[in-house]
Amino acid sequence: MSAEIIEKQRLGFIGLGEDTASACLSMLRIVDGRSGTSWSHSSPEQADVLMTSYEVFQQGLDDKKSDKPCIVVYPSNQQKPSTRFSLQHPFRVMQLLSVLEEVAATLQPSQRSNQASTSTLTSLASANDGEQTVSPFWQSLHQAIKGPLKSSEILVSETPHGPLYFKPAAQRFYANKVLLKKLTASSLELTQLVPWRGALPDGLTTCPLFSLCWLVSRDSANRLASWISEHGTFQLKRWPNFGSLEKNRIYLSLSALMMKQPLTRQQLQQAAQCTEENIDRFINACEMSGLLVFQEAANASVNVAVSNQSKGRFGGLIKGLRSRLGLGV
Amino acid sequence: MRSQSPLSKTATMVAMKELEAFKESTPGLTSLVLLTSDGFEVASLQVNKDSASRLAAMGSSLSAISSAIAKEAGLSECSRLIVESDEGVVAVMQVPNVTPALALAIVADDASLLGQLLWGAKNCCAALSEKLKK
Amino acid sequence: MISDEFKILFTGPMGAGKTTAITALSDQQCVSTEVVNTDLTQCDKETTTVGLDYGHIDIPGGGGVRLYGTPGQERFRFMWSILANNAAGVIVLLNGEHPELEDHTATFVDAFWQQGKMPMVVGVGRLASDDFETIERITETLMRRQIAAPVFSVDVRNKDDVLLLVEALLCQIEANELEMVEA
Repeated sequence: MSAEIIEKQRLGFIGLGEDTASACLSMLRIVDGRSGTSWSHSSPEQADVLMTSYEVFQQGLDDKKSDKPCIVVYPSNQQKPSTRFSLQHPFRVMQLLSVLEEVAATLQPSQRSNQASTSTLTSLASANDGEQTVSPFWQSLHQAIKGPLKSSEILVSETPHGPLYFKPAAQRFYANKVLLKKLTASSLELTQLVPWRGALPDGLTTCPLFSLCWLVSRDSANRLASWISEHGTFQLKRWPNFGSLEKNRIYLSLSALMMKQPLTRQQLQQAAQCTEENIDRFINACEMSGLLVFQEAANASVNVAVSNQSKGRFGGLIKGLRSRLGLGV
Repeated sequence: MRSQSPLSKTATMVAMKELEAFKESTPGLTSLVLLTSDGFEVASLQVNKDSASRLAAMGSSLSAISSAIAKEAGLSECSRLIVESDEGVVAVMQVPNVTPALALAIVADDASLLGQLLWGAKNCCAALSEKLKK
Repeated sequence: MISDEFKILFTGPMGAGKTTAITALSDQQCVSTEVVNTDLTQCDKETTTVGLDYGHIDIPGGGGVRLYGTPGQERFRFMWSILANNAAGVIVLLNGEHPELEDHTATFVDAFWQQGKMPMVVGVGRLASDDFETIERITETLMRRQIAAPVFSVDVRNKDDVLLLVEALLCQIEANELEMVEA
């Protein structure tokens, strides 16, 4: 097993009640050592990441603090705020750990005191060093999401059917209905995302991050992105939300497999009986949406193959049922 | 728990009188619950509220499953079902010709005689049918 | 031991579409235990299931799938564990318009999840086609319970949507059966 490199990050509280702050401090002690990041409490001015109450979030943070990643703690009777990181109160230890890991994954190298552990981050090594395997749009999306987030930032990509807007902090895309229909039906040329100075126009349809990644990855990202290492295992934090998009067996199968346990690309291909392109597209979309957990090859059991599933308890029943119901085999 | 009984106060009192008469005349009866076909208790004797609710729900499920199996077996209906053990009996019997549809669930211990129990239950249901039908 | 039949359970609150879903899949007419609903204040459906729904899919070459539907109302909760016994997986159907949607979600996923031993899929009906916020809310309800089940927006009157739920369940059952052998 490779030695773990522990990253140190500081968490500052603004506007949290005494109980919440105290519970959070206790939980930080519990989670210490469970991930590649060691979290300590500090003043908001010195913190790398802020945790604020819903009220403070609504009022807005002053300039010095608004550039820092911010976790908004909101009460259970409130709608989830449209921020990238949020935590519903009351929360459990694992929920706090999950959101802290998400935040840690976004922090720029210049903000890190040490290189991050690889338990939740994709490796920066690449078998295709220098070669871009994904479209410029996809690359710009990656930079937008992984960079420091500003709550008010809007980016835009131009298309033949109108602009596609993106709010990184909210993880939402916005477009007119015609454009979304076109994206669903076929491939579209999307320019790189660039800053948009104006306000969002009215009347646009909202599309969550994974849904759009899924549509676009069909043509823009069906080879593994250069910032994702081929060597290692892949697992999901939760099922992707396909919304009303295509949901065929291969992607349902990949989701089920990757929810169950970490697997290499080869194991996934064997178990899901699909192409490398299917796998890479799926991994790209999940990675972009923050759903992916990657583990380096040194920690993975790569010399293990997947056995013939027809020997399972349900034997060929599932295959027979699929055939009977007209589902893809 | 539903807030409103499917029967009027008067009808419920009438039903209770019939249950009491049945209980008086039949040794071994330990609980009686008059229930709707969708499992709500209408009236009950000798059983606490929670037990009555559960008996009503379970009685309706068993009754419905019994009707389904009777139909599957080519029988026209299931007019009553009986669960027997060494310690006693549970029986569920339909009350004919009433709206909403009702059934009577009875629990009896081993002091009861099955024949007498079923005869008494049949009469009770007939009386309920006569007095409650609109 | 290899089975020649397995069982899929459909559950969810009253009016969510369990009977409709089973009827859509079943080869023969389903066994139904629907009776007149006397409590229209709770749900304005004319009928309600009080025992179970039962359907069957024959598989050519042998074997089949038994489809069971639970009653939706909580007073029939005793039927849930009886019907869940030996089920290969459970499909939870919810009514997206119901004001108690989140309570229903919690009730049914908690009742059947069995600490992750029961493959589960959640289908939410009566949502607008562009309503992903509700799906995200339901997903968060599951995540708070550490329940890893997919959530789909479906219309069970559309057979393809029912098939999607079945396919998602089959993929999970297969993933659970995955065996790793030394290469």
